[in-house]
Amino acid sequence: MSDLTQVHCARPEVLLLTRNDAFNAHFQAQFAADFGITHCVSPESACETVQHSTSPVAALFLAPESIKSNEPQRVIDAMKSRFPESPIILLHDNIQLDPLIHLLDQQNLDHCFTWDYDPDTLRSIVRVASMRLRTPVRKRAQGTSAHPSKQKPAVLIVDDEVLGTKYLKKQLERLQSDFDVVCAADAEEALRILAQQSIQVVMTDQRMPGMSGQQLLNHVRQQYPQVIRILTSAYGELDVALDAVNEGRIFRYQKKPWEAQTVLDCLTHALQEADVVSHKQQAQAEDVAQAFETLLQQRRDALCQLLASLPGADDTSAQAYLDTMAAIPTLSPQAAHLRASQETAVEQDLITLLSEAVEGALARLPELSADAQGSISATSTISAIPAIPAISDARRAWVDALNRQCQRLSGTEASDPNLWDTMAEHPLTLLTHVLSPLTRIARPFLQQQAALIITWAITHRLSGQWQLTHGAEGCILSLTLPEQGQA
Amino acid sequence: MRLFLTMKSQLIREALLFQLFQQDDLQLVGESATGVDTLRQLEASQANVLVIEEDLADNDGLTVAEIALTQNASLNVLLLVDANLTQQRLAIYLEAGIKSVVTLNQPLTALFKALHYVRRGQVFVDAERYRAYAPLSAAERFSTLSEREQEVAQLLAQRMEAKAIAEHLGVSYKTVHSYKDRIFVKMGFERLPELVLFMNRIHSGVSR
Repeated sequence: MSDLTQVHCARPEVLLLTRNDAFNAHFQAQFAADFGITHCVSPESACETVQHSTSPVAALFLAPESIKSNEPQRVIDAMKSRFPESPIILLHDNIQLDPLIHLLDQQNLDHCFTWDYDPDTLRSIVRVASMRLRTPVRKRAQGTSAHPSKQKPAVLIVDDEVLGTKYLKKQLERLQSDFDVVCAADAEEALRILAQQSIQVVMTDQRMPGMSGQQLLNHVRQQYPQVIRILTSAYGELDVALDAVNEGRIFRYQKKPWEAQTVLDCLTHALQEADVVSHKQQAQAEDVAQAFETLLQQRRDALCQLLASLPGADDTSAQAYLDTMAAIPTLSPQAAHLRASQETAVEQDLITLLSEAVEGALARLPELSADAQGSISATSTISAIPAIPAISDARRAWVDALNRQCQRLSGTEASDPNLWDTMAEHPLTLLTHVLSPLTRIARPFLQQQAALIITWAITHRLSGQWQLTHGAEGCILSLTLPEQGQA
Repeated sequence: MRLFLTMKSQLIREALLFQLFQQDDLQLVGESATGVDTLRQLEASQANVLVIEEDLADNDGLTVAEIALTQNASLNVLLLVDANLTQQRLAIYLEAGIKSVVTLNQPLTALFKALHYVRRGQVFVDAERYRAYAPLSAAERFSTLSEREQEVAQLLAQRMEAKAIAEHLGVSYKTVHSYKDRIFVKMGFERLPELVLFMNRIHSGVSR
């Protein structure tokens, strides 16, 4: 096991900054079994801890006397520079809206809870954060001027006061020409627009008929995580703001009534953030794609070796098989697949288990020597085969085996004695295949892929044609065995 | 919650559904035994929560969930996995977009708890699984109840009505209810069947 894995099997380390002894005692009682808690009374000692900690700090908990206090700023900065992915969580018994909005403006918190928080939610946040620490941290992309799509960015404003939005849109368009403003009257319309065009920032009112602004933003976070989210409200509802911070992970909370200039500043910041986020995501996606490409080449080499060693196959035909598989679309690689391939035995298991399954099945078949080959017709049935005296038992055993694998692939139990001949009528569903991103080697996957390889090997050995094409219904496997004369 | 449930065994799927229906606000919009069938039905069902077993007859549940998520990223997926879940695997699942993972050897309450968070779109990791010490056994937990509470728990588990218990113990109906409330709070029960199961396990000595 690597060092990294061991770190994360241990309890996550968290830092608690508070002068409130009673709260510290309460916190320790609740979480001592789950986290290693370092309690600091002063920001200085907390900074010390962050800067010199030998193990990663999974989360910073702040429970200041006053929510307005600027004291923790140094600790927050230290955390952001050393452990940028670790969440900063504010716990306070008397949170007010204005200081909360201010903290959000400063990007100084990830979560915020009153003292009646759900401890399981906090445990969960820290656990997830501690797992995220394993991923090598990527620096924020620099030079965020150019928008990747080169298209003018667009901001979506959602509010049921249609006249108000219309007026704001006009004002914003008069003040700048850097971004487009799109309006929606409710959440449903907003989601329709998001599905149709590229939007960088969503700013929504909280109170609307139907889905609320907070619900909309929560939805947007899940469906379009790259879109920056802003909540606006004329009502100072603290619980809505807290939910929006904790669940919708909003960027800003903008109070109404609006002033066009304030909104413009807010949107400009949001667009900058959108740029940073999209650069970061793009870079990450490129990293993953590149790393997976390397892995895939190694996997292809190993598979090629395995396939080429089968009877009747060689390097060229093995490569042809792999090319066929590569043409069948599957999931695009994600960080999860990369982690599975790099940190678990998935890649090794794939090759070992697959070769065991394939070689096992083929080893049970009799040796098919050149002079033992008999004639066989693609249109004849197995029951007719014994009538042809020239067909050897060996060859029949191979055809039987081919039929068995076809049965397995098509999932039919029917004892159609000549199933391989009608495989084209049974579309195969290949959700994954040997060249897909994989997270584990599941038994059904293994059986399906082995069966496919066995049909390929047998068809080749019998000098037939093996073809797999991808269609709308699934994959079509068509096998043709030569209609040859007497041996 | 608009639930879609995919489990390979019909028996276990139905047993689980009976339990889930005791929770309020649940609408079963689809169920299936296989991955391919799940993907075929899922979109039309408009489910917002998918509970799916990892080991299915035709595919692995994680792959099916990943494909479902590419079609609808706001689907909340809870994965039911085999007993041996390492933290490393859990990290992979969460990275793949799974909201919570429950293993098949956890108690039913663990699934309910996870669902409580998952249905709201939150990621949930059950910290209890990672604690170093063993949780109290059922018998030990039972002994934390007062004598009178223990007595009431026994009678409740025998499905005796609160009125009858009140008569039997010579106390008021209201008192029996407050005992019942205290037992439920102390033991962490939400419904009577949990208490019945708990008491049966203690009596048969199979308590864990």
